[in-house]
Amino acid sequence: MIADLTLAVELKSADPVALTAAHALTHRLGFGKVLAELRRMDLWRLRVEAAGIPDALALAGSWITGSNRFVNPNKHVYELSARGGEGAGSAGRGSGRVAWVVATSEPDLDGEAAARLIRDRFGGRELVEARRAVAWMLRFAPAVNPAEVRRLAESMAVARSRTRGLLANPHFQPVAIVREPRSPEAAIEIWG
Amino acid sequence: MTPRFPIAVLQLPGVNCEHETALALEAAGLAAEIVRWTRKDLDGFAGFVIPGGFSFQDRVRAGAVAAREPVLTAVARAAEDGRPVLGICNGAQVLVEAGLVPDLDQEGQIEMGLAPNSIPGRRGYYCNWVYMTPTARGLQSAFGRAFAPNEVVPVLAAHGEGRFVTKDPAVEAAMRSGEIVGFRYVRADGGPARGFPWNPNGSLADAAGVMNARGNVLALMPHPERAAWLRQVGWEVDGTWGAARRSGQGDRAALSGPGPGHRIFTSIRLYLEARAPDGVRTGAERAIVEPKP
Repeated sequence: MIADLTLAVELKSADPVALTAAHALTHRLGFGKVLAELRRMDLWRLRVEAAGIPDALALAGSWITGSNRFVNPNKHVYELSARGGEGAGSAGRGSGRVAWVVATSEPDLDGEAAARLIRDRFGGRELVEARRAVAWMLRFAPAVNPAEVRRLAESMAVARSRTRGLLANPHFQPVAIVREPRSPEAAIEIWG
Repeated sequence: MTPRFPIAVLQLPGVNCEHETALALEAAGLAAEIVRWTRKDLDGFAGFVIPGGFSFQDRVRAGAVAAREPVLTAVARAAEDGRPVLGICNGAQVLVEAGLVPDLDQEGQIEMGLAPNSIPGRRGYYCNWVYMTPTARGLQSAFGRAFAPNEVVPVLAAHGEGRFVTKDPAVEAAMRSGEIVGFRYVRADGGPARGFPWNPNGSLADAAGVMNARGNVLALMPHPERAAWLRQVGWEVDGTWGAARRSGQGDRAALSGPGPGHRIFTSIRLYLEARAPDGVRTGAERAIVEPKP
């Protein structure tokens, strides 16, 4: 079988990239009254040929800890999970004021390089595919109408001009926006 | 020669080429002044250069955060006035992210991106000599007047995100036709680049530098300030510049002469002299205006 795994990697400490992005969004682009919190994480999709999910998780775990390519244990925490669980990617029952923006890159050079490394260093012929995305979690202020969340997230995410949008340049970084996924990893479902 | 044209070298947090860029401008007869990004009174400058480096540590995306800083409003105003605006490497990324290049719609939309290098079998930062030549439009621009047609000049590439890309069909057509490409990567003999290493990043249309339609704003990925004197040219460089460098070994006077990158900065001076023969001094706010028809 081919197991579809998701690796979510986040900094243990304050994320300077997210802080800088939040500062630009709130102080330069006029989202000061609507953006309450911004987080960022790396998402990896690893498709692994294995006898079962436990084997796939163990194999991918050995690549992750053995390569330093995905995770630096000094500064990162991570979760590795199998995709496709019940309810993944569906709307949750939160405040309605959280959106995840998942930005990929065309072409996915990081994914290709990671796959090459796994095959070269570990002989990892079981790795079918590696893909990378950056996920931004946007939590909006209580005053924001939940019906506006998707539109606001889109206007923060897609860079249209120096006064509109920031997180992804649409000429090489396509984005997908998920409102209230049950877990950050679930946002990755938009990869299809 | 007394420098007549004050040029602002914009010191955004994280840039690291401002001093060598200022020296290269001064060597071309321009009055360079390094100005911090928080400075407000910038309208008296005859032009701007945004130098290379890593503004805001390339956080979010190279050039993206710097492009949202208020100082870019002054740069945009200069671009609109027809004053020369040159972005080198990270400066090029800032201009693209600010929508000042190519700005075909003239409304400041971001019409392209500088994506990570696409190099067969590897990824990331690439640093080496490359060769570029001005296009026909580049020769007419504010940055090509000191070049000869089809002249091949060696310059240094040093970037991880230098691949000009666009999803806008009109911009792509303008790049392929050469309408907005000021400089193209070529082989050392002037032939088409046709891939790595001559095109060091996979840039669309072999573009090394993309301009606005008017030709007074240039986003240039290679570093001309690192080849502004002959002594800076690499021993291993091909062509006439490499030969001149090797034959000049031991000759201080020869090695202190201009290098290939000098032409970019001289071109800016020639452009300014053509626009305002009496020059502009610091404080003469926005004295450079378009010539009356």
